[in-house]
Amino acid sequence: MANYTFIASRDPVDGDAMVHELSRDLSSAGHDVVLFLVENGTFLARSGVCDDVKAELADAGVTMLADAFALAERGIEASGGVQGASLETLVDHLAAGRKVVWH
Amino acid sequence: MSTTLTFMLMDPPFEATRSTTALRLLQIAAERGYNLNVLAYEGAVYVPFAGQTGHPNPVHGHDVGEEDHPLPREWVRIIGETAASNGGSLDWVNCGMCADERGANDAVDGVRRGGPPALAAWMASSTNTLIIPTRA
Amino acid sequence: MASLLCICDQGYRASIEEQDDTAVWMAHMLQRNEGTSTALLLRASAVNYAFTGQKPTGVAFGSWTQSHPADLARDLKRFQADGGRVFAISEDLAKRGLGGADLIDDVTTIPAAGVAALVAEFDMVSFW
Repeated sequence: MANYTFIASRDPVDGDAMVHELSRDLSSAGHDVVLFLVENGTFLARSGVCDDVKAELADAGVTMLADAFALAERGIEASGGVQGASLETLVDHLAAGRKVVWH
Repeated sequence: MSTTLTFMLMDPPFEATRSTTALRLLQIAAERGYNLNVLAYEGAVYVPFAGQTGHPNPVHGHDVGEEDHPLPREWVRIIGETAASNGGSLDWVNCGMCADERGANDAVDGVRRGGPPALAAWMASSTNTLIIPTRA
Repeated sequence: MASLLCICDQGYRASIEEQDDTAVWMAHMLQRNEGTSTALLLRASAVNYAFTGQKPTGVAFGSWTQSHPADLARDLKRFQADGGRVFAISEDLAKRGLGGADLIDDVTTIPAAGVAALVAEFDMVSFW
């Protein structure tokens, strides 16, 4: 089993859902998966935005983090299992050799 | 063993946030003293473009000094200096063909020309590689 | 040998000016590099790159005409000839009116539900 960190930078409302589906499917298959929201990808963290997606990801065991800078920039209170985080975490993941994939 | 991270950027500055987020990651890594490699592909060759200049902003009512416009070329310089001062390094390669077709060869000091062979070699030798796509 | 899966989903993004697709081009250059095994997964509009019926004509501005318009099916075949593997998502092909018989040879079609399993086969994955 591998360790994945998917970086979701696209608006979850207008963007395609592949990064969410891939995160869910790999986690369901037993991989360790972190979904890290950045930029407009952080809209997923807002209550009322794609809540069904957040619930699916949480049920599949995906760890959901969001760039605190981008959350604050957009006035988003993280919800639905998403936790605010620093980009330091992403650098940690890169340095630790996780498979980091930007979408 | 030292940590080496490789990044490939594709987006030009001032048009999307992806390259800015990448520079934020690079700054964090530079503060840790990591060795950093960057291949700027496509429009990202303009990130270290030496011709970037600030400008006044009449909507803000600022003259050029008050506006203090962010310039990514300066961020690239700071990242390089930060890495070096912490025992790390920054090796920034602009895709030579991308720079030629865009007239973007006037880059800040420390940027060199290269291409996919540099990326392939870095991928093989780095702790990790992050490819940051563009979006039409 | 390090393996890389390049997921290409933005068909015809800059192919007029570049006379190719820059993601396919980069994948091919990396495939040529000793020690790297590269595969392309075509999805969304990029699945059409494998369509044999593409007829690129190039653009013209006044008396200037394009000499080498992008020929993406040719480029995929050259990528394959250098050992690159090409995958395409069957649902995305169907949505664009394409089936297996419409494609260049040796394109492996997979369902969208099979992407996670494909991703897990590679050392590194990148979207383009």
